[in-house]
Amino acid sequence: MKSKELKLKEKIKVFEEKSNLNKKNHSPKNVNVGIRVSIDLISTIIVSILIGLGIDKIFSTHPIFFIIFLLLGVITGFYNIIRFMNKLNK
Amino acid sequence: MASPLSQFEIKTIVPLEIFGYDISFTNSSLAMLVTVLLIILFLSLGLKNSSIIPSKGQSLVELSYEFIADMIGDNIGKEGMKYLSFIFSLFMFILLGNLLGMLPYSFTWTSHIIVTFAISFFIFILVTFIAIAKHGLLKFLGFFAPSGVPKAMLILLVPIEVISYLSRPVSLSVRLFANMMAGHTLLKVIGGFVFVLGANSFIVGGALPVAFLVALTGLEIVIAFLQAYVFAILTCLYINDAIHLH
Repeated sequence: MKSKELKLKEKIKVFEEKSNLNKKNHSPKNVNVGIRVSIDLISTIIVSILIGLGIDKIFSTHPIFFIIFLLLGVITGFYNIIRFMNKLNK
Repeated sequence: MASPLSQFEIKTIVPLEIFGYDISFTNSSLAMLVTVLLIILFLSLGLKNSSIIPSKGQSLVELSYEFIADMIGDNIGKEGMKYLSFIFSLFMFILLGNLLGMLPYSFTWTSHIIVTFAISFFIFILVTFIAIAKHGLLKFLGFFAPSGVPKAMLILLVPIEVISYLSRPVSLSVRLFANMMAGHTLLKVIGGFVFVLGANSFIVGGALPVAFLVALTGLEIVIAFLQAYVFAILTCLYINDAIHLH
């Protein structure tokens, strides 16, 4: 008797895990992830380049801030992707 | 044959000029006006004879209302319900604009980056305003310095947070614009194949590209829904960030 009960409990556990897994994959937040992430990366880099070029124009120090903000933009883009993916896998 | 990009050309219908600015009524403005009229028609016809047992039109209107209400409840919580009318009108405007573009001879105004950027920049200003009005300027600036981080790391983290905050309107607008423009250009290119293959090959003819075109049209309609949904849900997430600064 007891072993039967245990088996049933195990089955319920497996079923619950499975249904949770299904829910996770079909939740609408996971839709279109590839395009969302890639456009995020590109737009972050473009915005930071524009900020750098703007600062350069004001202080007429042409390549310095452009390079700094380009590097910052790339770092920010990848940092955001990592953060987004960590949130998604939770 | 016309270029696949000629469908995005702006044509002036009624020329207008005020203070040296060109504010002519174009085919893009006409498409937006038709979109708004369609929304008003959809909502007023659906709610004309409202009863407890809904008719087909009424249940469609209730379905769209509940869809947005659930989205706000999931992503913002109860405090977000006062933004329901804003997000609902935003969602319907973009959705019907996308779907209107699927009709032959119409114009897709969501495929112009200046339009989508204007919408998303307005959202950006609204979200910043909400955050400052709710928490004060000092606490809003604290949003860019995550807590529990060693002070040496702040030199790198604060610019990262500021840049990712500033890039929000750009990524929001580019996502909608790129999806719509790429889809419609692809449809036109495949449409060109129908003509070329139908004239030159007698075995397959234009049947293959036509079949492809039918499948792509279905996909385009799915993308029209999806992009309106993504736009609305990201607006929800940004408002959520503004209400619950962390």
